[in-house]
Amino acid sequence: MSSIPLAGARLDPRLRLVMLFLVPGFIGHTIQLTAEDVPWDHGAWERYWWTPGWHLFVDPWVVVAIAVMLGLAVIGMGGTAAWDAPCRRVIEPRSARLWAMGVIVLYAAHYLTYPFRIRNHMSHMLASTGVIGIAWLLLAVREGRLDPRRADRLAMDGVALITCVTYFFAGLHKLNASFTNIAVDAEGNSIVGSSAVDGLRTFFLYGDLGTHPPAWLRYVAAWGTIVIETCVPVIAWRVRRLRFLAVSILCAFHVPHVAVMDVADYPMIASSFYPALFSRAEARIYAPYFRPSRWNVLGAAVGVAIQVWFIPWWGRLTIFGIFVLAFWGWSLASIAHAIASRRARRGKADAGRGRGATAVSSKPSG
Amino acid sequence: MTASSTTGERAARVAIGVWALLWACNDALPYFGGRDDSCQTMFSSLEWGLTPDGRSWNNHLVLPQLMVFDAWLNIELRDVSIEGEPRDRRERALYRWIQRPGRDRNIEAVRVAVDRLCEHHAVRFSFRRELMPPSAEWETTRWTPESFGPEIDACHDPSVGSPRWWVPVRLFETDMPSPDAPISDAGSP
Repeated sequence: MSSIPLAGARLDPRLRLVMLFLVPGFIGHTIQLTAEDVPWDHGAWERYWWTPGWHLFVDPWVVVAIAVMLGLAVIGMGGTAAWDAPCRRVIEPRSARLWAMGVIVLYAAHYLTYPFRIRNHMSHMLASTGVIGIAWLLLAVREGRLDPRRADRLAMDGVALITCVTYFFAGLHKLNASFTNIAVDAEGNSIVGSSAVDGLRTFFLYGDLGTHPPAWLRYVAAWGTIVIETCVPVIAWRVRRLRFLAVSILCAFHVPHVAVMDVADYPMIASSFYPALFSRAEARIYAPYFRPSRWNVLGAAVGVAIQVWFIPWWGRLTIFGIFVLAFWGWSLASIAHAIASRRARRGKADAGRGRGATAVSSKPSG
Repeated sequence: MTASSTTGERAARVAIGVWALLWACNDALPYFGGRDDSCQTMFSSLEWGLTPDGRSWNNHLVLPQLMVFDAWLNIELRDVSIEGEPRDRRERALYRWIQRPGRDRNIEAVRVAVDRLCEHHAVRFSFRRELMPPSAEWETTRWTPESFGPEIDACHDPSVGSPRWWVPVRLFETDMPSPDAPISDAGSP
């Protein structure tokens, strides 16, 4: 692999954002796993032995060592992606792709040796990082070199596809008699345990919005969830004109998960892969607008305000949730700023052309 | 673009498609009794099981249920006897877990525990399957549980003594309070 040259070596701007966003994603992953599984607890050591899985073939210290090495690789990936130095070869310490390959391999090892519950975000992460590794590896092996532009483009196409499949199945599973049943008892709880109805009620309670969400809103919560999860990621990926709107809807859809369900890790990790839904050109245009501006500071403030308003209790992921909503507010406002600036410039240019045309037409002839 | 690069890109695209297909298969596993952990069923209220007469069921509006795997199955143990004393910390943990009353245990977790205990001990118990009726009937018709089978030598019964080692990770909750267990037994292990 070290002999495989990189022709022009900067990262695809989408891939760079994915690598950077995965750093907080891994922080959320770590907080959730350590908070829920408490690996240093006596009970966890006991559970290790009756939980099925390949961790039983290795000593516990190996599982811990893989997790620690993964953490170091993530730090390396984040640092090198932030720096994005040009590299001539794949194996150079400052090559973000090298660190990313380390993350991909170690994450697979971490997944296959994790001795407790495998979370949804873990499989999503395995599938998404795995597809990047597969794209790079196959190109490098078949061509004897890694053309970064094509390799990263393929990787981003793969990540977008995995994102769409993930959301599609999350929506498909919800197309069931319990989730879509909006009947409630006298206290407003779902009579069949619909997560949509109970989740909406929780959102209402902690947001001081009332105790009994209206029936129409329960319909929207149930069927809207299914429609959003099955359709919106595909729209975001394939319909350029609706892309920003679709990604904004996805973020808004996840707000209750972050705000009142204390599961900020999954939304953060899912959103880490959203840059793959954009085109390379869009990412290049939007990237400079992520620098601090009135727009994104205001967006982040709105995100923080939402989380602070809805905080149900100080859970293990509450502070991380504040960060996630601030991050989304910042990101969406930055993109909105970029779109608004381009529209304003285009409007001025059109006006300029219009004045020019008027001037030309008003020129006396002859 | 050269011919070889086209080939490489094509191969990569095929591999990405296969990977995405595998990912889709993983997420479809609940409909085959194959997985609940980490296949996007979170907060979905999706339920599945077997009726007492052996029919697969789920509450999905469109997709059928076909129980190809038994990894989803919980069993209730009775009259557990393990020959000899635990030799180390690992065996003590397994002893405690497999003998704890008031728990339904995932069959794959039982297989793992039995496999390890049988390295140095004889393990005997009787068990019954915990079948789940369709949730629509749950409130009105409490189903009659299966009766316990005869006591078996678990170490020589592949249905409870041979783990599926080709499965790399946990697929279902390892144990949960038995529906008939008193409240005091309903805590987590």
